[in-house]
Amino acid sequence: MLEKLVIRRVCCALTVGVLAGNAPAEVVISSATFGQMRARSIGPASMSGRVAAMDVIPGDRMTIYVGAATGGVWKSSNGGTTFKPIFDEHTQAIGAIRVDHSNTETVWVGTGESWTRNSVSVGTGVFKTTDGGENWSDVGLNDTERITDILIDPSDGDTVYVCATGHLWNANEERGVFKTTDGGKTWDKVLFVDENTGCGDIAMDPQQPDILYASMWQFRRYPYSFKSGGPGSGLYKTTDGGKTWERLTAGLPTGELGRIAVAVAPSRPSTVYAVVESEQTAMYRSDDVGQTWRRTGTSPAVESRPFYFSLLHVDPTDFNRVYKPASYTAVSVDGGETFSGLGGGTHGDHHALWINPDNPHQLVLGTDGGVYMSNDRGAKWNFVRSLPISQFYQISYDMNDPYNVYGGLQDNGTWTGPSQSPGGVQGKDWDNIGMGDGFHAYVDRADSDIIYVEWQGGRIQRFTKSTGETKNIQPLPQAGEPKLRFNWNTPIYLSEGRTDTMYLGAQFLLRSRDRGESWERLSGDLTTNDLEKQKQIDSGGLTADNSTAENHCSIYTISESPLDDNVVWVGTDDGNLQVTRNSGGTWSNVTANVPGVPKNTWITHVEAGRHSTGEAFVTFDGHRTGDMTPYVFKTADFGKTWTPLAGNDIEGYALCVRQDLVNPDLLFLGTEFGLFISLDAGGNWARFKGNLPKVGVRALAIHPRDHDLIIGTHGRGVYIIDDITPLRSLTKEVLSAKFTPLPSRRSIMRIPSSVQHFPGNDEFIGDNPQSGAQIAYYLKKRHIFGDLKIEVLDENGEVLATLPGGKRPGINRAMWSARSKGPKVPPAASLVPQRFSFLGPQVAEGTYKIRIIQGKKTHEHLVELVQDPRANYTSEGKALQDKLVFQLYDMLGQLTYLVESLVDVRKQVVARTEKLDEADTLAKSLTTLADDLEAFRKTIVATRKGGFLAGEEQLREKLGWLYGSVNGFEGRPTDSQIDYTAVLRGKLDEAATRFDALTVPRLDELNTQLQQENLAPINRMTKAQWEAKQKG
Amino acid sequence: MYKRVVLGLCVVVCVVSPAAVQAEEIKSVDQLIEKLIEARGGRKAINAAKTMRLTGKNVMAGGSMEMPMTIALKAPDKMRLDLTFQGMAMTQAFDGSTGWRVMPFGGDTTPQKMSAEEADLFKREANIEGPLIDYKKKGYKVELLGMKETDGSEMYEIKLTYKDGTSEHHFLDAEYFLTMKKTGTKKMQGMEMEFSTNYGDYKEVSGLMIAHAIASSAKDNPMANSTLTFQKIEVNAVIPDSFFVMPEIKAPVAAAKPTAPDTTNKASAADKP
Repeated sequence: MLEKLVIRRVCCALTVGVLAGNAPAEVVISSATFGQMRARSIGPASMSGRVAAMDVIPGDRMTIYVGAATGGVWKSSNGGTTFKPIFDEHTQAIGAIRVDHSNTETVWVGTGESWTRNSVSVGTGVFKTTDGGENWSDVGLNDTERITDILIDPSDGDTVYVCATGHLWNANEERGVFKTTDGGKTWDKVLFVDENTGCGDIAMDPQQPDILYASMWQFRRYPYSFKSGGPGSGLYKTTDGGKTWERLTAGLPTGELGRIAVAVAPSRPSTVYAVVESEQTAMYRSDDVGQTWRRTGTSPAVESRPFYFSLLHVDPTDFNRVYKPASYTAVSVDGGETFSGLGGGTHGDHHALWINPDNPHQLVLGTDGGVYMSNDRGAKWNFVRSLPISQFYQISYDMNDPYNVYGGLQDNGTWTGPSQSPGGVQGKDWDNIGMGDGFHAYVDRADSDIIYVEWQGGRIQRFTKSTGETKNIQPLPQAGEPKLRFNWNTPIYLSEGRTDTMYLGAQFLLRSRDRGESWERLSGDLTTNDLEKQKQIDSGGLTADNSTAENHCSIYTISESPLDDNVVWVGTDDGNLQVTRNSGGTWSNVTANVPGVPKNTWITHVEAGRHSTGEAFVTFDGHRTGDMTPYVFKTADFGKTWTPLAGNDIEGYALCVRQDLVNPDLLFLGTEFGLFISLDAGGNWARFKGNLPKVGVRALAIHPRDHDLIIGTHGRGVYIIDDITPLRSLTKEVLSAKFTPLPSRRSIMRIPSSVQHFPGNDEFIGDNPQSGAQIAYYLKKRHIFGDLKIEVLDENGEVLATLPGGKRPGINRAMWSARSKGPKVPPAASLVPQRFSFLGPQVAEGTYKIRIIQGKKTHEHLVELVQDPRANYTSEGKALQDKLVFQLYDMLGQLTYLVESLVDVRKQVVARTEKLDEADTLAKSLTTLADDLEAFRKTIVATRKGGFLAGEEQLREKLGWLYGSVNGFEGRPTDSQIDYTAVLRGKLDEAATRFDALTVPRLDELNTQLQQENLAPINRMTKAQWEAKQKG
Repeated sequence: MYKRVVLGLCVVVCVVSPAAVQAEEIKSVDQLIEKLIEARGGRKAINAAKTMRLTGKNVMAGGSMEMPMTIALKAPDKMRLDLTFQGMAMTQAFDGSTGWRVMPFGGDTTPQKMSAEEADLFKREANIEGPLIDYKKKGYKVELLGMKETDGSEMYEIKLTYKDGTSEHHFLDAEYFLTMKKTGTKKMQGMEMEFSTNYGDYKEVSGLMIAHAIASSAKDNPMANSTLTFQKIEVNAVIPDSFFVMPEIKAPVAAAKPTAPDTTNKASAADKP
């Protein structure tokens, strides 16, 4: 691999060398091409997301590892105050986490969640760290797809068991129980039933680690139903570390079994509990090391959705206290006979639980809505606010400034939050605007107070933001019409062409032009209408499970051409791709024209081309039948022919595709394993890695005014790549050249804002975009030797700012504050405590020349600055502010000159005095002058120890504060500020006069005397000398 | 996992990229550190540098805040950093045994002793050659983690563990073997923060290859991002020992000598490669 890299680099260098000056060579892009471009997370963590696994190292600091269902591994080293992601470059779907408690720097992660709901992701095997999560190595079992648990032999950390659930949507051999005795170098499959049966749960006897219990589970999910249970399911026990297994049956239900949860009581390992899914799901208990069992009690939590909640925990000190997490957590204090609930306040759907072995009152709980902690055995809970593992299905934006983002989430409703906020995007900035599972959400194009939201199965609602009122606007079948089939994630689509038009997909395409008051059918059944795939009532297997999550033969994606609103594309979950060119008058099913996609493959996204009416892009996703191939296609002729765009450079099944609004060759693709970008219309792709984890990207939107790419991830919330303008210019020519300046969007000099807020560290806060002017350029190779700096010039060619330039290969971005350099301020007892007194005045809007100096070469570039459109300053007011702020800026400079020359004169005076006898008359005169100067200084700058708390304000402090105040508001200064400037001007003049009076005549006289003593004269620094000193 | 170049290509490589002449199989961390020494100008030049004074400015907030700054180092273990803002100079120094600082911005120009923990942090950074060179003598552990793409180009990653168990990662360019980046966690004034420092604009001074631009960022605090650029670097300038020693506390201290804003996030001598 490395040889290859080196050779490629050499070849590249050779090619460029040889072809210099000729046509650009074929350039293959890589993640490095995008250089410093970075996605910033805006959370939210307010509702967090599904947590599938957890382990904790108890102790003084308490280290917590959280495995998010689709959001990676997070570590807290401070008992849950803060968390950081430690697994971003690996598969984000987590099934299991186990710390080796005999060597806590070693942690094992099983990827692929085993809570096998419809929206579950996929894993890629087992990973291990030996340094607390800094580095991870892939230790195999890569085809297991999902892992329920990992158990480590407490007496030998190299002996590890993996309970591999295996593939969800198809048969596979790599499932069952695996064992390694060499720390993961090699694995033995120690328990296997068949290719349709995986490991459902596993438990170890803490005192005799060779005794293990494993449940085997036969299950399968289809795009349209789920089945738990079959002859493969059963509970097994080994007493020899997995060499031999015995199926346990005595006292357990006969007949077909489903998923079985099993747990050993740590305080009395002869007691073992199991929840067995069967025709009559219940809890079972053995008190003879699993040999015989008896049914104890049951409760809704025991019976509920075993495929989703097959876990069980026994209190570490009380073998009769059993926790059964489910949609809520039930607890039994009598060994499973009766159950009651834990305290409320948590999100429902509990998938992970940790009970502190040293203090069983302390619980950590993982739910569909993040992590909660309890110190009273679950009576009351703290919510962890620092886990932005929210699972978005869709994303949209509005045209507010700053714009807001909207989207629906798995089990967490629909939310809206700002793209930026004073102090960063925090939990308080996000508003919940829809219930249930959330999906599509759009702001009405004509009325920004109206938002269309939905919950599962097509329950569309019209939400009024200002009042919070909701109206259900779901179309209902009329007389003679069949039941409307809505997908779990029903598509809503707002026309770009007509502000009154909204589409909704059932099996028919529906359109409303009156905000959902009425709907018209624009098509017949656009799906395959396969009746065999419409038996959701039977879904679930042993335990019925029909939550609309399996709804099928429904429209899944809709796109109207932005160039012609008669052209509408529709993709269905059962693989039909349909297009109309006359607003639904007639439809063409173009599915058969798409080459190489298995029949009935789910269409995840269709996008009408933005630059040519006949164009469209489509993604197919076959993972629900076990086909993980990424499928991306483009047509230019309304679907008659299709070109495949996906090559080997894409990883993960395809979820969505977006064509850029400006450059037709710039494409964005979301897959289960991240964001991919193509600069050549799909010829080559590279994964975007700039702060964006390898997370499922379900939805992409490009903000048409701000040119941001908004990324809706299923597991890590919302990310924004600010200003994709530089990407639009990455042509082959640019990629071949050594250096090219790149355009950025117009830079808005945003109105500064700040907040006084001390939220602690326990809350996730999303970054704001950088303010100021962005300067972008492309470097083919890393710059190492010599300068690389950026100068910003005013219209006279004067350098306004010098900025360090980025040096990495790919796109580099620098930020200029769009301000002059900060003012000169004389030294005193403390800083002027005003933020805007630190900063220079904002420059005028307009175009500025940029000089990028790279060693001996200089590249020129332009940057355009515009005033914040939200600002409502009059031009007279703005002009007045400009004038006044620069006047004050200059006055501060003059005062600094005065103080520094005073200090300089005094220094000389003191130096001369030291060379004279104390009793000397000249020495006395000099000392008097030094004292006078110091006394004078104390009247112009604050000198009392204690800083601003000393409350001393002299000319410097008054001037600095006034400058900061005028500098902090770009519109008209107040009359008071204008008048006070004149007052301070007078005081500054007085001070200058006083300094002259103190020095000029006396220095003449003293210098004559100094000359007589053969001592150097005392000189006052001239303004020119001072200015030269400033330039350094 | 280390860089290997097919021998046959080497001849070609030499023509295209002079640095690749040095390309050879890096088998051990010591071999890599030897390469670093060579790239920095050689052992002799490094040993010959007894003092170093770096004069430049710290640029923050998109160029609107510039703070003049100097870093002075004297072998074997002295360092002083002065940063000026609004005419006031902040000083942090270590004289070989005592760490001290003057933080005048809040109104106190009295020199203060650092806590032992902070002084230790300064001590480990108070050397001209940086922590990797002679790491054994210094009692540090190093480990070569391999070569991987870092910030868009191939780099060797070295994990350096200090005596107290804290560690940082140094990234060396795979072609030129100079330090490009350093990451880690440090505790400053009670606050734990993850830092990342990038080195660039290497220029030769007195036979030594020295980074003239050092960009620092602290995770969770993008506002604190800053870049140090040096206009002048002097090797073996005369710097008396007394320059590093904490001034005796006289009361009251005159404000004549400028001293600087909270610089915990700003580059320190720690940031020299």
